[in-house]
Amino acid sequence: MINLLPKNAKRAGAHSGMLRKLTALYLLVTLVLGAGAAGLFAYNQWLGAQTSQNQTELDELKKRRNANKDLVAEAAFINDRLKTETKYRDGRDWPAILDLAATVTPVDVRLTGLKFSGEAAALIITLTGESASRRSIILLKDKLANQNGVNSTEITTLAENKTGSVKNFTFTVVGAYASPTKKVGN
Amino acid sequence: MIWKQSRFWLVTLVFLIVNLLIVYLAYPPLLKRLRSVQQQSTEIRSKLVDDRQFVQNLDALNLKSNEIKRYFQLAEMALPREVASDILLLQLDGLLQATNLSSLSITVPFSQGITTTLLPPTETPESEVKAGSIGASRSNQPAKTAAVANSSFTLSGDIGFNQMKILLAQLATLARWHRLSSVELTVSAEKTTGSLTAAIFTLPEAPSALDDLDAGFLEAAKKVFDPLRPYATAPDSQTEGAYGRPDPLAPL
Repeated sequence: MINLLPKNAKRAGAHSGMLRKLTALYLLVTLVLGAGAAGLFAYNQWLGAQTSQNQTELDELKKRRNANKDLVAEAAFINDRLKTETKYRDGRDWPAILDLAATVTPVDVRLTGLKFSGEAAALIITLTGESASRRSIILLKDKLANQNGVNSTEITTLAENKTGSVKNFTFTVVGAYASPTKKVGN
Repeated sequence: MIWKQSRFWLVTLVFLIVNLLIVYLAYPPLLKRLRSVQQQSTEIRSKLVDDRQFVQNLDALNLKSNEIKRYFQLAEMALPREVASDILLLQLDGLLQATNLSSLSITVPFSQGITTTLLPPTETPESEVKAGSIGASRSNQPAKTAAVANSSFTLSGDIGFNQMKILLAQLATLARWHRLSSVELTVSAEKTTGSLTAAIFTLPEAPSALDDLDAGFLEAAKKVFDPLRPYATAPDSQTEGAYGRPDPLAPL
């Protein structure tokens, strides 16, 4: 088909078509941008509503928390004290420690004093006493040294006392003892 | 050419103005708000998860509130915030009575630098008994200004080897935690005397958070606190005793 329109009219028609297409493109871009903004606005509103709902729940939980704060403080206090138990409570089996002195004493030795001292795990044991036999005093020291947890035993004094023809020896034996632990109720 | 047409320029100008307005005026505040709401939402959701868990734990604790109250009292007695020498004195007195060793002397700290001795009534003259009795000791108690972080008590007097063993076994059940620093027995003139000294502690800080609460803390508390015995109840002047004497200086 032959277009008989004049050249100017033909060009104007073509321009008008291009302008329509361009306008449509402009509108599309504007709509996309507008829709994006509207979408963002709506999402913000929705998220804000969700956050506010969560905040309400959080406030509610906070109220319940505060209503029970004494109970919480008490529970936390118990928990705290339990954690410090080993530091502040004596876990050593003291009757057994005392028994140690009885166990190691030979039958011909009399103790006149016994002392366990020291707050750390290792106790210093000081045994003083008397016997007619030097050998028994040395046996006491050796027996003490052979006990579990005992080390560094030594005789620090050994003196001879004479009453008439009767000889008697007084002594001091010292040792270090890593005492066993035992919890009450266990 | 299309750009030679005024309509093209008009449409383009309108397009640019409208879109620039959208891009520069609408988007920045919307994006800013989005970021802020998202951040807020994340924070709240994270707090919510923690708090829900916390309240769940709290509900479980609420079911055992009586147990908690009981163990709290025992925990406070075991390692108090203050020295509480008066209660310690009563506890040790109760312990000695329980072991039939009430003849032993008790020395407890009443403040840094001051000690008050409870002398056994059977071994002291009447005037000294009054001076050293529990009531008199309590009156010596100074205002609780400085907390003693680390102090000690001493039990001493006539005591044999086996009695000392019994006393030590009983002392292990004392509700007030302590660490023995010295146990001594001495024979002199066919009489055995003994003494024991133990350190006592106070811990002023009182945590109020449950964040690091062990799940089985009540079980642990049961194991630790149930075998302990207080040996004395705290005196309460509101409900206990009779008061008012016309002449308080008159002999009893």
